[in-house]
Amino acid sequence: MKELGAAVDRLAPRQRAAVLLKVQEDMATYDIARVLKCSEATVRVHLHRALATLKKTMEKR
Amino acid sequence: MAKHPDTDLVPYLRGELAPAERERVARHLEECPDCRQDTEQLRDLLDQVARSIGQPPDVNWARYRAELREKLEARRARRAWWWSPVPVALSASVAGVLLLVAVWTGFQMKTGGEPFSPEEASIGSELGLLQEYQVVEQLDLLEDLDVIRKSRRARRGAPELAMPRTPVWLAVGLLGTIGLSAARAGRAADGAPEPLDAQMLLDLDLLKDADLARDRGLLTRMPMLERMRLLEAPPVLQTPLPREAPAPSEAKDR
Repeated sequence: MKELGAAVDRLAPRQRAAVLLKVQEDMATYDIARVLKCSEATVRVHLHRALATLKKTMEKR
Repeated sequence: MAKHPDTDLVPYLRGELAPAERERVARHLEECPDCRQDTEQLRDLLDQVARSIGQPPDVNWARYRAELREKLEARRARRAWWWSPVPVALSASVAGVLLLVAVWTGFQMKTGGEPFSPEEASIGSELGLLQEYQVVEQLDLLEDLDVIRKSRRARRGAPELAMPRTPVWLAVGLLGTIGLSAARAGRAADGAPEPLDAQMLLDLDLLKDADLARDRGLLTRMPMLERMRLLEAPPVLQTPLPREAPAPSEAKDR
């Protein structure tokens, strides 16, 4: 579990922000887009890439 | 088969998609075992991430705001060095001397045979111009000072006096400036802290969108945003604030 937290910390800033806002704050994609000042599509891409990275981290264990 | 809806899977899992979009993704998942598997893995991964990062640490809001105020004051001092008491006092003295010269010159300049009334010099004061100088200036009333003066004279039936225009204008302007300076200095000296609001944070480039911050209650989440390095050029947050559990009263005040 610690590894996963560390992997979140290593994510690119905007990917990390998208993940934290989604998971920790339970914000909708629309709201994350407003906070990050980007489109919803971009947020979805951030989340997709971030979770793909985290998934790889878990698989490597 | 249609393109895999990779980026739609998280919104799908969270129930954020519009009905048509949700229907499209659901139909795809029925047909695509890979995406179905990805969706299940994503669901698990999101749960694991939530457990691994936990909740944001509690924040001592009183200390947080106190530090913001402190840095705000430091920034203000850098910006308005000329607004400190010494320069204000010096400019007030110079203005006073200039005022005396102006009034004296006004006496010298009068051309009419009638004596100059001190009332002429204080006409601005009589009209409340000094108290409301800024408002008067905005309303362009100073443009009509002569008209006002004439109408007052006409109502009183008093004779027209030669108006020492430039010096009196100068005097009114200087007195107004001094009045404003004194008022601002008085406000600054009373020691009452200004409320820390979204506009102030906006002034500090902390937030680009104050309305958004208010709407979403983001101001209460500033440390979290700071931790995520979301804030652009946050000058007052460069020093990490200590994280402490808030006292019950502090937790309630936000």
